[in-house]
Amino acid sequence: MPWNCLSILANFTQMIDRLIIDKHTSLTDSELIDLVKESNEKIDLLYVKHKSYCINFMRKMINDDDLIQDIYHDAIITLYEKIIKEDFQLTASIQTYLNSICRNQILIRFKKIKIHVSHNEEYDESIKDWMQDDVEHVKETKLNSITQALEKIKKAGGNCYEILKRFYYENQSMDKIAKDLEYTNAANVKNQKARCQKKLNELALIDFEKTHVE
Amino acid sequence: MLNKEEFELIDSWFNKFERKEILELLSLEEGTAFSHVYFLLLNQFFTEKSKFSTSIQVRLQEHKIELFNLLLDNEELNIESELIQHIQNDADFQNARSDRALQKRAIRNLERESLKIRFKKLDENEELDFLSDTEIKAGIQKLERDQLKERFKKIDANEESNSRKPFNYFSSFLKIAAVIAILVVPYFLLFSPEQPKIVKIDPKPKVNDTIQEQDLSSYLANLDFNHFNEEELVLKVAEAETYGFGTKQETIQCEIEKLDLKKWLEKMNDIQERITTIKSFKNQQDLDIIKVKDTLLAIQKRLKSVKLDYQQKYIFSQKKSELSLFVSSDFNVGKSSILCFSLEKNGEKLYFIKIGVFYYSINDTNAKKSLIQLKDEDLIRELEEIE
Repeated sequence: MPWNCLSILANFTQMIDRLIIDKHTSLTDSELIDLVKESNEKIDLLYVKHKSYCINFMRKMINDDDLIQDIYHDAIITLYEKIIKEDFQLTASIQTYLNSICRNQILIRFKKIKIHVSHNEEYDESIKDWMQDDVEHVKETKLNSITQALEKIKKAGGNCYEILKRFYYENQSMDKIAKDLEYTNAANVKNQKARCQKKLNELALIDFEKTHVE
Repeated sequence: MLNKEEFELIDSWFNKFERKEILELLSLEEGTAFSHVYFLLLNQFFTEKSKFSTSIQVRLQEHKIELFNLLLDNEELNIESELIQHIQNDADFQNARSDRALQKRAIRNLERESLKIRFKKLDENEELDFLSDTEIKAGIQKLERDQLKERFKKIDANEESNSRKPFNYFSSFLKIAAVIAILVVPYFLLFSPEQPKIVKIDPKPKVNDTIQEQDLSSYLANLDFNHFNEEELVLKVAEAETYGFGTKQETIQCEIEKLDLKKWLEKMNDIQERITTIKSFKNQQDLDIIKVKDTLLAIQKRLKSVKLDYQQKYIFSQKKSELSLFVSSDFNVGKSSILCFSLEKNGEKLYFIKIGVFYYSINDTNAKKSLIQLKDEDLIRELEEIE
């Protein structure tokens, strides 16, 4: 078979793959957001659906694929952390939102570069969100001890990590945590959280003292 | 209230210490406990002077003055608030100094005392955590973000490896075949050539003969309703004539001199009490063509699978007229009763089906007519058109 026919066939099947890839890529923005709110696993759909457009959008501005990839990862995380907050309202399409925050990041990092993007409907200048970093306020040595302790709690099983994650990272109320994790009431969750937190403190302190002594 | 022994103890204690030493003790941090005892002593002195020895009384009086001065001059001195209150109320003190500074001191001391009590409670009841809420949040945030980034990298790696996979002939062939099937098959379904709408039954039923139970039923069972295009399916509301109820073998013969449907119907009404006339269905809504078609399909299935339960079967024929009415069985499909019958004239057959309260005719010549409600005149006109 001639090589040009082969390549045509290859492109055609890749196109079919793309069409078949996942029925969820045809979901509307609000449907996708609802899915992500229900389950952390659905972030992948968000990631895959908007990736190529966002990457191509950024390529109009800079020519560093590694950086573009990093910015896109952070942009998706920024969007995800916004979505899991109950008061989140999307004022533009998801694509426009992602393009806007990626563009903003590039402008911040490359202040001297004049960046021109031909189509204004691809981004919204007023959107300047980015990841809120509580991490910056914590010393690295202590942060490492905390993450080590969290890993241990996660590996130990049970609901401890889930409760702490939902309370501190996803800002969920005790009532919601109780309902989702099937606790009797919010007070029980609160008690369990206190126990988990105490355990976390102990583990983090042990690790911190150990690393400092060493 | 100190008892006698305590008085004597303090009495002796005062004899041991110089006034200066006592005052120095009061100024120390440890003087809190000392000052408390001293306060008790002074309190007793203020209330029960007579119980103290003269020498103690004198010394306590001197101490009082010194204490006033200490209070005013030494802000760090820890004096019991009640003692301060006593001192404030003391006439000598009031005469000697303004109590504004003392009040300020008293307030500050009270605040310090209450703070110390709070701190003490915290120390007793709660352990200070190594991690603050912010630090915990930061730790979880870092962990979750790192995990998300790992996931994204895996997705990117999968995408890249898929694009580099060697060309798989077999899976590509299947995919292409699936696409062709999806695109092409509907075309043939939509644009298939038209099929005959009605399968004519053959042979014609004989006059005066009892229709074989299966004849019309077989016809209907074999009638291919799928060939009816929804747009062309003729659905008319028409009145079927239901005949009197009798035994399965009963036949009714009726003489009709000439083809005159109106008169025929009137005569049928006259003759047959239980014959229903053509009714108009003014208030009845048109049925969904698709629903009717589905019902007809259901009839077909029913005929094939269920033993027919005949309630009645009549044959109507007229020698002089070529109009023959064949009534098949009356059976049920679901909740609707179904009556199948046909009218034949000059070789032209009109097939009717009554489903529930609705009457339908399926007629080749009227194939292009849509669902309408027929009145008596309409049905007659329809039939006349066939002529």
